[in-house]
Amino acid sequence: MDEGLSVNDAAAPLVLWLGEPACHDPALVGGKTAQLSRLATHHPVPDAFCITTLAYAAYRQRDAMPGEVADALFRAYRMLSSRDRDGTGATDALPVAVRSSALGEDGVSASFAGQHATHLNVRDPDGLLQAVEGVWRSALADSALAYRRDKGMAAAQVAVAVLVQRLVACDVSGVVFSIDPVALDDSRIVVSASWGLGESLMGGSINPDRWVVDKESLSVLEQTVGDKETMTITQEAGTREVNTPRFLRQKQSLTEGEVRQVATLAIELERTLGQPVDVEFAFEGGRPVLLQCRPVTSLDAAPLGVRP
Amino acid sequence: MTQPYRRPDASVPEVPSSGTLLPPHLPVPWTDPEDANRFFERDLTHFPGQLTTLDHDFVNHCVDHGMAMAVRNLAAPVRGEMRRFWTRVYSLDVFYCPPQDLQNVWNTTTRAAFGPILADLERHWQETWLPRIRASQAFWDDFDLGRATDAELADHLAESLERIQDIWAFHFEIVYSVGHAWSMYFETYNEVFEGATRLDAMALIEGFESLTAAAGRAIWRLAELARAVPGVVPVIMGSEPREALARLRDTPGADVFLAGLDDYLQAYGRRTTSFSLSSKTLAEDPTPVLSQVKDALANPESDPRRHRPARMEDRDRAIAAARAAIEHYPSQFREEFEHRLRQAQVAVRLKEDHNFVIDYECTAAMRMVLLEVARRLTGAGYLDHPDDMAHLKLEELRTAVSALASGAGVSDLRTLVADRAAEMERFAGVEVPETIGSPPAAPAEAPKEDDAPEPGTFKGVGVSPGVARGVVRVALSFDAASALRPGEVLVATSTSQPWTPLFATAAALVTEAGGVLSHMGVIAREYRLPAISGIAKATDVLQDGMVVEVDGLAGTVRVLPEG
Repeated sequence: MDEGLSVNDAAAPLVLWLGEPACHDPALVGGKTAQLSRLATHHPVPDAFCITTLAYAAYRQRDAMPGEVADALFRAYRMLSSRDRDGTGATDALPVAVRSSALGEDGVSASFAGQHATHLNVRDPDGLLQAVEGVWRSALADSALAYRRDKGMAAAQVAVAVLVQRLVACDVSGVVFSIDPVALDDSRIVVSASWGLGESLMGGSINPDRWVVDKESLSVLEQTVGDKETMTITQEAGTREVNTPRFLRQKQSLTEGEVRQVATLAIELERTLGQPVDVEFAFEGGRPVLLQCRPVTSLDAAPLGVRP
Repeated sequence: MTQPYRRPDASVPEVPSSGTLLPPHLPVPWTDPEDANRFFERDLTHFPGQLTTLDHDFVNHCVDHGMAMAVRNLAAPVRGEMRRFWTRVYSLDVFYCPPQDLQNVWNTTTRAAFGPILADLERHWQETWLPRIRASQAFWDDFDLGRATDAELADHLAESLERIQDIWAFHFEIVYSVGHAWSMYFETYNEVFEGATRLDAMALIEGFESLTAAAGRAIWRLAELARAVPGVVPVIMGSEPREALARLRDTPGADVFLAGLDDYLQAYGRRTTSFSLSSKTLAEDPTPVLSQVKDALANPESDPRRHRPARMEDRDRAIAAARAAIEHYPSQFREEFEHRLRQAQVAVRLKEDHNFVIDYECTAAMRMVLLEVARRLTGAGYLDHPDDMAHLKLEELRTAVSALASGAGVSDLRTLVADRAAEMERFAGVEVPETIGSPPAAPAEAPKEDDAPEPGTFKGVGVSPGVARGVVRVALSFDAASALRPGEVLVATSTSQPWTPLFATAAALVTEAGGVLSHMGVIAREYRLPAISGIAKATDVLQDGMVVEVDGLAGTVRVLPEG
């Protein structure tokens, strides 16, 4: 915890914005955010800022939300809200997704998908404050610590940054692997998608629609309409899971053209990172937006190379 | 053409005789011995009473044919055959799939065949169905029945019979489209609003304009005209409706009202008051109109025009609430919901308008043609009275008028008429069973014991909410229903469109057949009239003079102690 940095140190930022060089540093923003920050310049990534691991350290020190962290959080949130409105000066609070971005998480050797709490559709400063603290607390939770211990990391090393991302109000979300993660076949891209926000799909509680796409020709090799039993949708604040109406269950959540767009995004990201990727996406305004991007990790935790 | 489904299972018991399911006091009705193995059910909604030979033949010509066309052209998995036993109509279902698959086939194959129509019901009505119906109505309007030669009349009848069959093919396209549009809407509505009732869902699709609603409001405008000139109202209120017209013709200043009545009859009067060729049109006999004007004058607070804005506000509120509830659903779903809602709204109107135009206006046109044929046959001495046509079949009338035109001999019609009239008389007071023949393998649902109502309380299906008390008025026919007085509870086997203005007079409505989606349900809610359907033998168990309380939401009728 004691790395000689003070929360008031100008060189020790509490908040960093996606795309700025300091935001590429996993030690400050966690693996997930660092990755997104690097990708943000060339790929469609929702606008976001990050509450750094330094803010978390201050929180741990005092065992309470430090005033200067709260101030920095509110300032950044106001800025994010106004940025989204093209400088029209609207002060309405922007709906955001609050996600953990821990050090060691989403690194090359370990994937912590779904390990820490995610708060979707947070839409006021107080709610945001609570969501950030919620992420911190959940990072300390036993299950997450146990997971880390199994992966050989000590609990004391846990440092959690929090990503505050403009919420993508999407009709469809999904996951794309730039290789077939089961057969480890890198000539195939596997797309899963379902209605609503990604939570039902990521939580593994539903059968999504599934496509297998040939990486070379982008033609769809297989398609399966999943039951998509439930879907996560926003509500006044937060989200709720509802039964998916029959009409939507019977309907494919992506058109073939959209599946190809998603496959193309996966190929581009794989090229950028130099290794197979696992991408969480949401469809917004007719194109896939990148929510998270991780290197594909296999059961033996060895990174998979890309065939030349 | 598709072959009807036949029960493949030889172990299904073939009932060898008509024994058990035929009442002992009635003669065995089968003309085809196979009938004993079939299952016939009375259609009380459409044919509550006796049906004449002509009307039954007309039903076969129109209804049976229309349903057969839906099987052929639109993959309908079942059609009905309307058979007449003991002067009552029974329906026989002919399946084109195993009966247990009916719902599934209907919701998949048939719905897919209706796809192009369901894509835009309004457009199909405006651009296909209605223009072709109106073209036939113009054909009937333009033909001068009185001046036509017998040969021209014979040709006209032949073409009329073809046209009415085409129109009835539309009739079932419309009815089935309406059914699909509703079930698709309800399916989607119920998924989003768990625990919602059918009435909740109906709230979003009612209160739109229809020909029935417009004709209903026109009665109230006539009442206003009556009030405009002093002296008219006392005549209407002080006469039996049957005599009112003659007295009004002698009343100074009544000409404005009479002109209004003519306008009404011009716009809405060329329809029968039931789906029957024996039913006089309102233009032939405006007594029901005068009776309704009388009720409107006695009952100004029931004016449907007063309820309409509130109805529309209720509906718009319900729609807004539904939209808010699905605001965060995927746009693909919201678009589909809006589409299904719109189709269901149009379906409510089409349900009314197709009845208005086809069942009543086109039947009226056919009646006029056949009546002219009957007049000629009467004039030539083959019939005693034009009304005797009721006992003849369409083909018999067509053959007779052709024979008249060609100068060939007309075969004996009088004996046919006498025999069939005697048959009508013989069975007039005879009670007949609701089902006969060999029932399907699956036993009918056992009545639920647990929700047996208290003595003196009858349970049906609530189709229009509200609680009202009143004195029972049992009406077995539309004519009998005109005896209804304001504040009484109207009890009937079923009601049809021409009964609509009575809804403004009644305090509540109770029927044996109908349902939330029926004409009765739709209009009762329009009039904010508490209504219940599905009370078996309501016209028997409830009797004139009883005081009852009707709860249109709970679906109960409670007989109150008198005094």
